Amino acid sequence: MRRILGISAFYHDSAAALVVDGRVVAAAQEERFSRRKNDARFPRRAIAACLAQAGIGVGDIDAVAFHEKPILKFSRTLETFLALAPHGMKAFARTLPSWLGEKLDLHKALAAGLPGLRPDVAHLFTSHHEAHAASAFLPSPFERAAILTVDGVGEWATTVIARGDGARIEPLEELRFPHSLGLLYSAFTAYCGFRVNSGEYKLMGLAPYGEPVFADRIRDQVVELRPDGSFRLDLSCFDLLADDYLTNDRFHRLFGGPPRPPEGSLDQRHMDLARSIQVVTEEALLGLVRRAHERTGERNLCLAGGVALNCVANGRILREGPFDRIWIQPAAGDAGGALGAALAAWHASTERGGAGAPRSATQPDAMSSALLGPAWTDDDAAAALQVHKARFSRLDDADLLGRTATALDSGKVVGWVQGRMEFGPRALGNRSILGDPRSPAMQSVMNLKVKFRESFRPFAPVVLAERAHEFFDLAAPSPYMLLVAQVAESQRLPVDPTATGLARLKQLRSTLPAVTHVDGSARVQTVTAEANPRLHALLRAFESRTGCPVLINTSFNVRGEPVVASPDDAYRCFINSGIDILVVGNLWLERSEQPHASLPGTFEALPD
Amino acid sequence: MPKPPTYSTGERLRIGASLLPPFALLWLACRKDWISLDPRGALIAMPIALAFGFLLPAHFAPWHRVVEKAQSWIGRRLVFALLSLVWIVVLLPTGLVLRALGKRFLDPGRRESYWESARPPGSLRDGF
Repeated sequence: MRRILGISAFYHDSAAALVVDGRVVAAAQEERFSRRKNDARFPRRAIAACLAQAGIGVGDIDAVAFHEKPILKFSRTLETFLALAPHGMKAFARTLPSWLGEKLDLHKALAAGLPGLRPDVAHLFTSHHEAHAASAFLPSPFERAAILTVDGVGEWATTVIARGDGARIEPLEELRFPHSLGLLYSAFTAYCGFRVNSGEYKLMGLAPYGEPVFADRIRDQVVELRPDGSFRLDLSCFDLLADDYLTNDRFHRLFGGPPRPPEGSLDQRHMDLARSIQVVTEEALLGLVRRAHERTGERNLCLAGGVALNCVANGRILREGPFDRIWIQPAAGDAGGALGAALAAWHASTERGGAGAPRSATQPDAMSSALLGPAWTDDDAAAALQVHKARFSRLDDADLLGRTATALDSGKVVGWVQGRMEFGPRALGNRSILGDPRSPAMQSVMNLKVKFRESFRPFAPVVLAERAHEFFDLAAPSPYMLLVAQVAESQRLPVDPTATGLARLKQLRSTLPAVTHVDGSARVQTVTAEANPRLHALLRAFESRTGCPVLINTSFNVRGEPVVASPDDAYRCFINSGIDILVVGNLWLERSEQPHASLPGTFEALPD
Repeated sequence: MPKPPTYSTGERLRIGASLLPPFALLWLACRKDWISLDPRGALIAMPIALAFGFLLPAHFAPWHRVVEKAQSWIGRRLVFALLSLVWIVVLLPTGLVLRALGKRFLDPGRRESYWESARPPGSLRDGF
């Protein structure tokens, strides 16, 4: 028995993962428990949840694996300051204190964060991209594959191409800081007024409203894309030392003005910028994928790193790239580094025979549908709800599914909390808000009255895997909502081609208007009975009633809030938002029957 | 009814110690003849203040919080000043010399390809 705890922390999205004898037993992000979005602090609550899931204590851990090499990262930070001299004195004095504490002396930070850890327990460190590569390949369904990891930056690498074979991961080549697709996308994210490390998907959602009028300017003056897939940023456009915006005056002149302040008005220029950087990012990613294919000759591709959460680009990689099959780690961002570090440590362990020992790929993958967080029983949930004097009834499965399907069909918005919490940024049907995708008003209702977020934001559909082809032009299953596909032509409706910008939002675009983005695309999640029996059964019940096997699936939270974890979080969110029905396990709650009009939230709302 | 806060021995000592700085300043002022008082008075008052803080922590806790904030504010500025000095004395000249010698850490210059051979994975036990 060997129990390895993986940890990612201190930058953003800290998380923990527990691997027992090579099997991923639990994984969770700290933000879900601390109720602070993108929480970067040591993930003590996530660790406690992982250990509880396995029924073990800190003293039972055999190794702790961290997802970065701290000294290498520190040396990159220092070299950056050397390179930027005579600039950077203030940034140096501001940045270094955090390094002189827990970031650099990780042995001390781990010992402090894990009281009760045995003194003989090894502290292991993978590199940042090693952790990403391990999280991409080792749980994948492939025996052999090319691996591509792309993110902002780890130690020095920003992009890595590797080959996975059995349990061995062989890094082949890399691009280095500051030449980074993740940083480039984040620079545009900040420039358009969204928060770096969380607002990137908003920029992606904004892109279809614009035209790629700045794409040539980006290619000519900001990033040089080489035919072999490599690229180089023009550093004269960036301020690498800035805290808030990564861009400088030259960048602002190039793109027609100063950065949009957070919550400022969104105009056509921002939409065009979003579209332009999305187009360039897709081109760059396709170049990287072709290079990975050339270098490895493999037929399968595994992806991870924050840029792999760009599901529009992933859809193009699947359709236009040279690989037969792709698999994307559902927790592709830094949270997944905890999982990758733990898996890498397990596969390198001598108990297992080292990295040369064989590995059998698991089908459909070894991620347990990404349902790796904690679960609450109905009794636990009832106890939590009774604290609030909530009014609920306990239903049997058939009644629950029937009532939920009826509520959805009548235009109600349903909060749906079932089983184990998802690991990764997407709610995959266990901490979700569900709605009827056929309703033309539903996108606006859910954005403005339920989630209190921007009206332009699209919603994703969840569909029965066996009927996905009738509604979406999807070339492969998409169990983790990481692929964007066009809504099938048979479901599309004619639109006015002269409409521009946010005016396009009001057009009826398909028979599923609430999940069809303005460009006719949708970020699809396909569900099988094996992957999520409960959600599959609900889709079946909705299909029986309406003929439609599709629902809206969006994360169970409001703007600025982490996705709910516990029944208590869910009840507070239910009461404070416009959700009509809350289903927790087999417990059924209706808003009109609740004794509260509002409840104090438990999360620290962050601007986004 | 809320329970009154309890204080550990360490917390009591810290609260007591937070009462010392005014007396230390008073002692210094007397020693330098900025105030015409006997400095021994300030020295005698210090253990008494410490004892009061230790025995009546709830009364002095607000003062303790003020002192902590002030310490933190002063500490941050001292660290900032010290690190600025390190930057001026070490990083700035080193960076300029390396640049004069043609060392470019961040910009590879225009090339046919920007791919670099991947660094082979090091030992998992190393943080570097």
